[in-house]
Amino acid sequence: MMELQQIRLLPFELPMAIDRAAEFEKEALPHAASLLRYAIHIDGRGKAEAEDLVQETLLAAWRNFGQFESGTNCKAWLFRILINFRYKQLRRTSRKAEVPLAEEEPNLSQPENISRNAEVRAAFTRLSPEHREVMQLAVVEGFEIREIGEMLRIPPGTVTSRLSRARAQLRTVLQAARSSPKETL
Amino acid sequence: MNCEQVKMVIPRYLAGESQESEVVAIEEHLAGCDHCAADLEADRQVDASLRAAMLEEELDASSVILRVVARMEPVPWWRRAFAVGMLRFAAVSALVLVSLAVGHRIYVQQLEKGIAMAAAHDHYMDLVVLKRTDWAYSGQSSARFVQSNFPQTPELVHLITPAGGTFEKVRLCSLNGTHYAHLVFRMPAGEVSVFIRATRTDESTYTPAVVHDRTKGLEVAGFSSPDFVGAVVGQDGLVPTEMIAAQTAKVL
Repeated sequence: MMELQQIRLLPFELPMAIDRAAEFEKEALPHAASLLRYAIHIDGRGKAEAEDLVQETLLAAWRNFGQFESGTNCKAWLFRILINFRYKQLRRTSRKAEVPLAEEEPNLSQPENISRNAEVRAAFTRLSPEHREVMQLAVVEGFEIREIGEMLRIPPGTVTSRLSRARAQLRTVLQAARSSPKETL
Repeated sequence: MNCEQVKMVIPRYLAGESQESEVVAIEEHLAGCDHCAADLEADRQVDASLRAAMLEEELDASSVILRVVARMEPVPWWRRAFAVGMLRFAAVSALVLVSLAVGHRIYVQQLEKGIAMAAAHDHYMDLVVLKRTDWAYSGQSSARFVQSNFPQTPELVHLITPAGGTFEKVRLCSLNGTHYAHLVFRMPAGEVSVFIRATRTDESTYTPAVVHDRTKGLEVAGFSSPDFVGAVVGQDGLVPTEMIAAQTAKVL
């Protein structure tokens, strides 16, 4: 491979080379969809409310981008910020971290009308908030157990035990839904 | 290991985070325990179902990205300095001074790579993530764009259109603080971006180069002619960026 072309820069251009905005756009913004997915499913938020939370997260990340260590996991750093904001919101509004059954939730009494994925999403909303957190972070977003422990400020052992219980709970809910389709969850 | 012990470590095993000795112990137990093996398989299926259910929805984050980009105010230098800590700030300053002292060339090479990576990033952000709206499309608007930015070369678009490609749109962008025209051409292998600007009188000629942005799967090929400099960006392995760059330099 050939060497890069030599582009001469004038001294006044040197500071521009450290383009923090471009670095932020490259490192952080591609994770916006993952943050949005987490924000929507963790508390059953509507998309507009979830977007507000993600916006707040990304702007805080931008203001504090100097604290982010280049080369480390930016996605984990962003999720830590989002989780902190979410906890603050829950404390501020005393909102119970439970998922209301949204109006778009499928009617499980008519299983022929719902897809399997919608059934799984509906079952997921029946898990406790602690179980939803670890399942989403570990299974959907692919974070390591250690990273999840740091985000949620709990020991790794607690993460693994919550994961065990969460999987068992989700299996039970799904089995119940499939074995007695006439009953709603 | 007994069943209870295996149950405790299965999350770590499923995450691929078990040490080798633990993997051996778990698999020895599973080979002789149908109950635990069935539990593990059920856990795997639950994981796969949840992933499929969550990733089925294609979430469009472009509106929140646009809102964030619009509100990203520059962070003052003093705040950045405190954010990284004064010691680290001092270390970075010293490094910059040493770099300048020992070889401007090394530093410039990094900046060259920075511009190539910025071109790949701009291609990705413009065409994939942000889908900006300030493009001039073919016809009068693109002709006006070329007339105002490249008055000496009104046939620019025609000259640099790659063989087999058709011109799609053009906009002005900034690569690490320097303005370039970003032209997009549609080719059978996908969209190709050509970033181009007129060279300054104090600039020397360059040696073309190719850089790969592995994270985005993009290839960037630089080019230069006596009057122009720029880069061609396309999907790595599909778009012959180096050939297009060489052809662009030749016709200009």
